[in-house]
Amino acid sequence: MIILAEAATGGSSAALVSFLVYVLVVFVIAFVAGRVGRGKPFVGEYYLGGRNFGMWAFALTYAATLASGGSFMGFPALIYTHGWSLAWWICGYMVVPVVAMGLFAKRLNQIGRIAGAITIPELLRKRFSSNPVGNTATLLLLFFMFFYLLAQFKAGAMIMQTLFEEVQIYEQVVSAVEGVTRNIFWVNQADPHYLVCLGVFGIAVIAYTAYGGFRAVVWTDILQGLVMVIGVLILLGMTLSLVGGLDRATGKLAKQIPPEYARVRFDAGEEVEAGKLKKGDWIRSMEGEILCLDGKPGRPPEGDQLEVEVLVITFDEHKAQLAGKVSSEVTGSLIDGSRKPYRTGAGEAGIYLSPHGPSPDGAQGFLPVMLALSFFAFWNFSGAGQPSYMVRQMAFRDTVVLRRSILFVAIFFTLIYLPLVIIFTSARIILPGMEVEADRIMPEMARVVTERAGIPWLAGILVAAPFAAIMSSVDSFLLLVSSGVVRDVYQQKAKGEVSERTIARLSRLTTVGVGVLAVIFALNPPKLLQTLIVFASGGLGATFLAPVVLALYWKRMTAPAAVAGMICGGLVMLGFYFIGLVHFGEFKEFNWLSVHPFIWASLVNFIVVIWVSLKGREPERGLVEKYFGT
Amino acid sequence: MRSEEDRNKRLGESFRQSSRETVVIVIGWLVFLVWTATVCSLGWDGENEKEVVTVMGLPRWVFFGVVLPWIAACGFTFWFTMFFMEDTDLDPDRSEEEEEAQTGAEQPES
Repeated sequence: MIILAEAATGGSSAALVSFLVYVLVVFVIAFVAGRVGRGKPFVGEYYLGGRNFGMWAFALTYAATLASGGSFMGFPALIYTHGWSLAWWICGYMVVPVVAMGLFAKRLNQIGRIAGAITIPELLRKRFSSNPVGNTATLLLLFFMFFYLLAQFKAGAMIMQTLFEEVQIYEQVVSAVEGVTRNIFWVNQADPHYLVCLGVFGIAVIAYTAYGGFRAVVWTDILQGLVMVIGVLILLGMTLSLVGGLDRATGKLAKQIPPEYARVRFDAGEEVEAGKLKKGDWIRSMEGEILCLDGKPGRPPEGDQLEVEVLVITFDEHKAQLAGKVSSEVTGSLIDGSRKPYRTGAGEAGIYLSPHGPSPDGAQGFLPVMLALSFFAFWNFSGAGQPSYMVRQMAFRDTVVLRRSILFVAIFFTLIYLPLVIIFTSARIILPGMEVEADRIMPEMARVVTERAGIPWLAGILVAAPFAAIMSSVDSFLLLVSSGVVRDVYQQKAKGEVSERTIARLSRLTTVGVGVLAVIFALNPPKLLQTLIVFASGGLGATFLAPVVLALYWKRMTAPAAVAGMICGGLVMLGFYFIGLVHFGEFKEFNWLSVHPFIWASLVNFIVVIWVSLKGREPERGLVEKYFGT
Repeated sequence: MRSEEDRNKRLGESFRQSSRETVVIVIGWLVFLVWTATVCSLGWDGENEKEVVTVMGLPRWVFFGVVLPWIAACGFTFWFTMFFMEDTDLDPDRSEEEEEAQTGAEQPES
């Protein structure tokens, strides 16, 4: 970090300096939080901050954790690719605070206090006085949460890549790392640029989370939450100024038509130059089309010439905008019959303004009605069913804090999600042809709008917004997984009294261990960030929503029903992704009847819990009175 | 010290209030689901590039099907949190002495 900062102060990147200052502030906050927590009972403090958080802490940690890397990387990429349809896709967030927090927070906090529970598996274990319930919850939580961590680490590393691009010392470090890792299995499959950024990001987040625990996570979330809102609003203002206002942007977007995909072959004479090309490079075809490479050219199994998948620009205004980017040295020939227009919206002006949006492979567009309805439920109830958000609902001080926080988070989401849709539909006008690298649109927009406004240092602050979102999610999930291991596995199995010191050491070691393991797996993560995030959050919601909501509100629910519901919910979710893998040949959900798998899995979970409970013996009267009163 | 009976009675009342709030939340969620789905799915029919109608620079279906219900949802959240949701004792097992000590002392904002 220090070396990079020195390089940046040498004049290579003002944005990098402002970004590093931000990261430094996060570290100072985490350090102070760690000092404040000293001398207090370790477990309650490290994992739940002493259950005494006020409105700013509770509201901002909840909002910042919910607005994860997906909101600032995957979501902008989708807006860019599918236009205004994403306004409908995301609009469930209008009631997320009142549904997700209002539905659970009061009862969760109350039952958590009565049970003396620190984690969600522990809460379920004590609510039903059953170890199998706690163990099942722990296993499923660790499984799905790990995928979430992978996605967040990938997002963090990708943002850093954009920031560090062309910084001299960074390129030198990358070369050195490439030399060292060239022969290391698994590690050598990752792009060295990504590898370096993943390492820096991983060390930073793991260090402050392991040191400061929940209080550090919450305090840094406050800063990160504020940075997110301010960053988005500044970016909105600058973007609208650049495109000449919202009316003009909408008018221009109405004229756009989607690009096409195709394959290009390079002639023998051009193979050497073509071998140097990489994903995102621009070339011109022999036929005069402007093309963006969707990968590195390679030899197909049954061919002897280099080929690659490309994006073909079809909109005339974009062709004129992109002409300057095209490499004049290399040309390729479009392979006959390889051109694939979008299945919905090809050649159709106005499609980016439609509620269903263009789609390369969907017959009903990107967002059929049933899928839109599914997502309205998904954001609210999958969010409500996430253990990482539930655990925050066990940490606020009283119901006055809760009521004010719900309102605060509602305003927070309004100021983030609607502006994001405006910003990234406008991005299609400012930065055309980024479909092949859509996950990079947020940092690219930050860089371009600040450069054109003559204030490049501001890009560091704007990029800090998604980075803040990712950090606040990673640290929370890291702690959640660590608490699952220490509290729900180790402390349950340990015989006799375990000292506070041992628990403290073990908790920090587990946080570091889980983080390192996630970084190793994140070296070669799946291609699409949003797919991973939706899988993990959907899986957690499908597993925990029904058992937790019924455990809080239904006296008749039993322990075997909780176990059966969690297993069935998790398995149904996995099943739909497995069908997707077989059907599409890639890791993707299968939306049966255009309904998201989370909905099917949650339905099955609810039915199983209710059916098994009614078939079994009634719960003990003492247990019911303890948690429901009379 | 509070009696067990008193503790259970207070907890029972708090549980019933939480249940009532849950019902209102689910009804609210359904209203906004129907509103957005109806306007967004029906509001586009027949429009094309030349007929795109905007309201404050936004496509018409976005304004009436997303922005307007979003503002209304903020209003609903305000009403629910400030006027409908009731404050509850979150720790029924806390003794009266602890409660007095807690409410009597000034609360630090964490």
